[in-house]
Amino acid sequence: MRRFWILLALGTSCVVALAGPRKPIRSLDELTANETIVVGRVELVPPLREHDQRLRGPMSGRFADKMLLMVDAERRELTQEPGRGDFKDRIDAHFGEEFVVRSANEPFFITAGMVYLSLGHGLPDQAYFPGGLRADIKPDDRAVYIGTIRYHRNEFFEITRTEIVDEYQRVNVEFKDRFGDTYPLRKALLTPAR
Amino acid sequence: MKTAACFAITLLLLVASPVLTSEKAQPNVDNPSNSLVFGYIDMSDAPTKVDGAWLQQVSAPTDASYWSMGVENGLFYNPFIQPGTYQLSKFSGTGVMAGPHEYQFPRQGRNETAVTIDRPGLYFLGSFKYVTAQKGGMFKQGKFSIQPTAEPTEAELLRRMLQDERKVAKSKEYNGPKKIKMSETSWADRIRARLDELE
Repeated sequence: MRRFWILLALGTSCVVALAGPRKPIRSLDELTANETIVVGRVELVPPLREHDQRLRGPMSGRFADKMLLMVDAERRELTQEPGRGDFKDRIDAHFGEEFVVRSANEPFFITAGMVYLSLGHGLPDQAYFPGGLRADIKPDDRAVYIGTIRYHRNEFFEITRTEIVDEYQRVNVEFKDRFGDTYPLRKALLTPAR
Repeated sequence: MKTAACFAITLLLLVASPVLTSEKAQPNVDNPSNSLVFGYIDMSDAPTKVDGAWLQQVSAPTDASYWSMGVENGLFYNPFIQPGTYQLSKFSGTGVMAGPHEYQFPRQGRNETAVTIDRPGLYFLGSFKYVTAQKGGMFKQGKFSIQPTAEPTEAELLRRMLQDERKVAKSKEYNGPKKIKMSETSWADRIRARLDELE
């Protein structure tokens, strides 16, 4: 039976893993003509405690201290537990660190966020976070800063507040240090999707 | 001489270490900071009986986030609980046909059993009945919920506890006696006092 749980957990993590996150970008050479760099960050207040995530099994470590942001070109609302299709396009955001990923030169929507709380200990267990956010990417953008999504939670992982925090000054300096002045980082903070 | 000194120190450490360890590792059931948390679950409609329940500490982080409780005839309790906010995390059991089963509550959200312990005392989580919300398939366990029930009452469960002797409910680091008879602990007087309040 224990093997069954491990396989189930592995299967679930594979479903998400197979869908594949947006790739982080390391060099401007990786950017194609119709792509832009998207820079942002996710924070959880209070942050995850040591025992909040119980991840066991091969490959489960990739979800440690991360939120999986479900991304879509169309605005939509999740009305039921997300399935594989919802993770087809996603950003794996390490809490408290900037993500720097490639994106098509078009607006996108953050549908929801998910954090694995338990894998490999019985049924997988997740916490979901509200989305409903729009990233305003323009056709001629090459680098866009979308801000920090700061989720406030209580001890039951209920989301009490979501804010978009502007840390452009700091991030822009870091961006220039890393990628130079070739592409200016345009500030376009996430806005509520309408 | 040097070898003899090393040997003596090593021997001293070996002799002393279990004492030091046991002092840290043996919570006392009569510790005044303890709270007694208890409840009841009717699993008659579940695929299996249950013999274990887990209480999760969701705030005031400690090294022991999960506290186990034995379940006998629906009654579960733990007399070692420290201040913090808790809720039931799961039940577990085994059925002849169904095999080992875990009935897991989602970690996200406050369930019906959530309780905040701000000072030592008796905390009744409630009496509940298992309800099948959605049947599972061959490879998938069904979803469930629990509904509060009027019976057994808090007083009935307290009386049962006074007669109970069971394998002790414990945290991971617990290394004390294997069985506890509640009537022989300091809890007996507190349980009787609570019964007087209720009756």
